[in-house]
Amino acid sequence: MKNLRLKAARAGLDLSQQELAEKVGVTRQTISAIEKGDYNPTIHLCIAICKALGKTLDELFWQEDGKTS
Amino acid sequence: MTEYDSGYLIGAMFGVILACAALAAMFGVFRKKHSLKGDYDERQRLVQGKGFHYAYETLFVCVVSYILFGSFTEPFVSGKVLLFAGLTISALVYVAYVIWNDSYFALNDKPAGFIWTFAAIAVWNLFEGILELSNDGMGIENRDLDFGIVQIITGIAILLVLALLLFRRFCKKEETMEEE
Repeated sequence: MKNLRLKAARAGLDLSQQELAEKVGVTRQTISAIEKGDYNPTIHLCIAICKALGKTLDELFWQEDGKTS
Repeated sequence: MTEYDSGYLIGAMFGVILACAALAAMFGVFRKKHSLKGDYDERQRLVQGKGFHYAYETLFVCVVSYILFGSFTEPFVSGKVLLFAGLTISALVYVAYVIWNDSYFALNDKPAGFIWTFAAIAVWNLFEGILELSNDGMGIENRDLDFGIVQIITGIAILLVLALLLFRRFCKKEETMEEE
């Protein structure tokens, strides 16, 4: 499932996928895969992404119906 | 063992020890300046694990095929040749899978350098292999592959890897442009 909130949060800070990847310490392809929903990151990576974007885990990776995005 | 043989062995051993010491010294100095450890992210490590899995399955199929059908090929090629073929195919499967899933290069790797190195190695292998074959003229001798044909196969395999690398870089550029 696509993670549009992550994409929106990244765009809100005017960050490219490459820039976010460098901040977090992963490849651009990993960020792309997370946004497309092709890869489920570990909790460590989720936390790192949240810190880089200034958001919480709930805001980026959790849905109201209890399923992860 | 003649005096010549023992002298050659001692010289060769001394040369190997010297080469190892020189390499260790080079790595020790180089490591201080640059990080030699390939830094892969979690998704890349996952993909590499899957790649090893597929390569193992490929090799398993090759070995089982040899067990079942090896008797038909035995008059023409030895078991070593088929083992070499199985290893080459399974290595190509691994490399192709990790390249296609962007997990071949570590975070601190520079792909351009690798591409030029691969190209040089492929060309050198093909050139040497063709030269060897043109001198000897036989690809298979006593059911074993000549060194020349091994070099040609290695060169072709590296060229395939290179072609996949370049194609993937081209695809990535298009993906990046779409996402930006």
